[in-house]
Amino acid sequence: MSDLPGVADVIADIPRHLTAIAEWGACLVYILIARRRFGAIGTILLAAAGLVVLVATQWWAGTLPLSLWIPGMLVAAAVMFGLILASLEVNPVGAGYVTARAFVLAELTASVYWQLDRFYAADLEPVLQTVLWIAVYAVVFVLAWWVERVTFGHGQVLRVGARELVGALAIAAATFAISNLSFITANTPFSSRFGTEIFYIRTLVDLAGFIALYVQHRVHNEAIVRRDADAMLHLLRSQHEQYELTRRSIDDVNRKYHDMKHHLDALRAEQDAAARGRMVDELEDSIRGYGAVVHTGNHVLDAVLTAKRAYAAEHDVQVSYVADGALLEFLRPLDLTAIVGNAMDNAIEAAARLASPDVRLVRLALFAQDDFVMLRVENTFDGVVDREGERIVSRKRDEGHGYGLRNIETAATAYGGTVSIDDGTEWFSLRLLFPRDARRAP
Amino acid sequence: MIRVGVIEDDPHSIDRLLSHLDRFQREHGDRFHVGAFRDGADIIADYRPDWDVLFLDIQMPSVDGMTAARRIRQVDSEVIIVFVTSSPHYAVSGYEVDALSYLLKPVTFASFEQEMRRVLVRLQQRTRRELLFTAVDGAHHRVAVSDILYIESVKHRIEVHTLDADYGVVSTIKAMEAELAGDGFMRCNSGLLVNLRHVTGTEGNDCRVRGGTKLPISRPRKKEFLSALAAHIGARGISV
Repeated sequence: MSDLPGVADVIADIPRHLTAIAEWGACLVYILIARRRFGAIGTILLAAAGLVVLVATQWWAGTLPLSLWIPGMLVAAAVMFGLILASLEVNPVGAGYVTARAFVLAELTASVYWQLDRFYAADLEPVLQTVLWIAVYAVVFVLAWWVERVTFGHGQVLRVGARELVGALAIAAATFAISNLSFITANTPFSSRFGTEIFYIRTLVDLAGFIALYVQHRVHNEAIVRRDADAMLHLLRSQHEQYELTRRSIDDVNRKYHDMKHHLDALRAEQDAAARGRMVDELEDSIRGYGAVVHTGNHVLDAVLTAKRAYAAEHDVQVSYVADGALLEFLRPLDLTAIVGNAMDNAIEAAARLASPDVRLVRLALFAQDDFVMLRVENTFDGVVDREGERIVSRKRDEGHGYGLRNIETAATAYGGTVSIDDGTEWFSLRLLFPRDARRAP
Repeated sequence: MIRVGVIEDDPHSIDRLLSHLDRFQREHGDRFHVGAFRDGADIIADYRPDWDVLFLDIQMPSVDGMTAARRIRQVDSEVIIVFVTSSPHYAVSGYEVDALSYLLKPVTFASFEQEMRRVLVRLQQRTRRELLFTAVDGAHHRVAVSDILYIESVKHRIEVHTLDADYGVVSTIKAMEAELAGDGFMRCNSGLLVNLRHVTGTEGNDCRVRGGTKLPISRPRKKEFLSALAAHIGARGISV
């Protein structure tokens, strides 16, 4: 037992230049995966400069007293952030997100190597030690590249926001703190017995951190895919409605054309002037409805309301509206369609469930009060509202529905809007309140 | 007895509204005194503010409904105005004359009934609610609840901010909240009780009240506060 290395040797931390190279390599993994700002030469030059700065930073940090160890690590993380921000086509938020991941990967890589090195160090020649070092780094980085390549999507632009950044930073910080906490607390009377286990614990915690970040990104990716699918579904649906509307208009015109021909024939045959006058009046009456086009001062709203009125007419639902469409100018067309389209669909479907066509009513009001814009859609209904906890859910069980209200909420919230619902005894009322100068959150 | 004025040039529409009023009386047991005018000029010629509610047609030959409403508002801020129209395009200017709502022609009984109910609720609310309190200096005050902007908790007392003046009162926000329950007041944070009818806008985590004062909305209360505000404005504004 006398040849057991001294505790001080076992605890001795990873040489600074090895940490620096691990940090650099981890950055490189992500730079190779994501969309780069520059071509091959620019990227290589940047990477080389990054390596020099990182090694210099770590050596400088090594000269600092132990109490400044964490500030030293933060400076190293800042250099990694700079390298990633410069090399990749990302904004600072995206760069921070990538840095958190690269930092944990660097910790993991250095930790794995050091654990192996400490285990075999006594039996190894310096040359073999270097070979081991290169092999471990290469294996870990290639594995990480292979795993992350799938989740990140090769050459794709990162779509992360502040929320994802905070999550990633929290995971990275927790990983770093816990892994090194055990490193420090082990430096107690117990440390001699558990010396090597400390490395193992650090590797495990780093690995757990890496996996946590990996899962976080997967979940985030899936949310994006689902959101895109929803938007696409809605787009397709509104396009289909547009098509249906056009088709119906063509049918209407054809039918009117035939009617008109009969009327004209009858007019020609009629000799009595009074009867002729009556027939002309009737003719006028029969085409009256065709002039009723929606004009609210907002083309998109006009189109949505026209389509929804036609849809409502098929279910004998009366739609009336009073709307100053210019107030919704701040909504992007797709969001306006999502909000008004879904709200009208819900209202019309609920009103259509009533037995008597006389009371199937839908009313839309859009007005401004002080610095607010109020959009309200009301409908008569049978008083039945299905809820799941606080949420109102669709009564239709088939796929694709029941997202209506959620779509409205999501779109409205993006503009700082608030949704409020009132289900009275006869009227169901959906109210959306927007600040008047609303802007879409990025 | 509720006094209802119908101003409408088309005889068919008058008949329709009168029969709706009759049916509403029969079904709900209310009593109306109904007066009919054939043009906006007829009602503004010798207008006395003793009507409770006016159903005003917008398109009329000599004086249209919107003009009539503006003239009426100059002398009568209380009467409830409901526009009756075949075209929704006039809706936008309805807010400036504080119209309660619009009825679109042809007026169905279902729409009319709902509107009339709203009118009755509004009439009941019109009785001025007042708050009596003794200020810190010993003086007694009587303040219309609708004039209160917001109430602020300051140390062991509260500050009542109204449109005209501020009063210090020995009371608590909690007691005031209970007292004003149902009057459209809402806490925007633990120390502020705001009259929703005077909230004119929001900016980030603040809400603005009439007069321009900004009040902070606390994070845990934000969702509930904004939702109450949406419900409040949605219920107050013009309806179709």
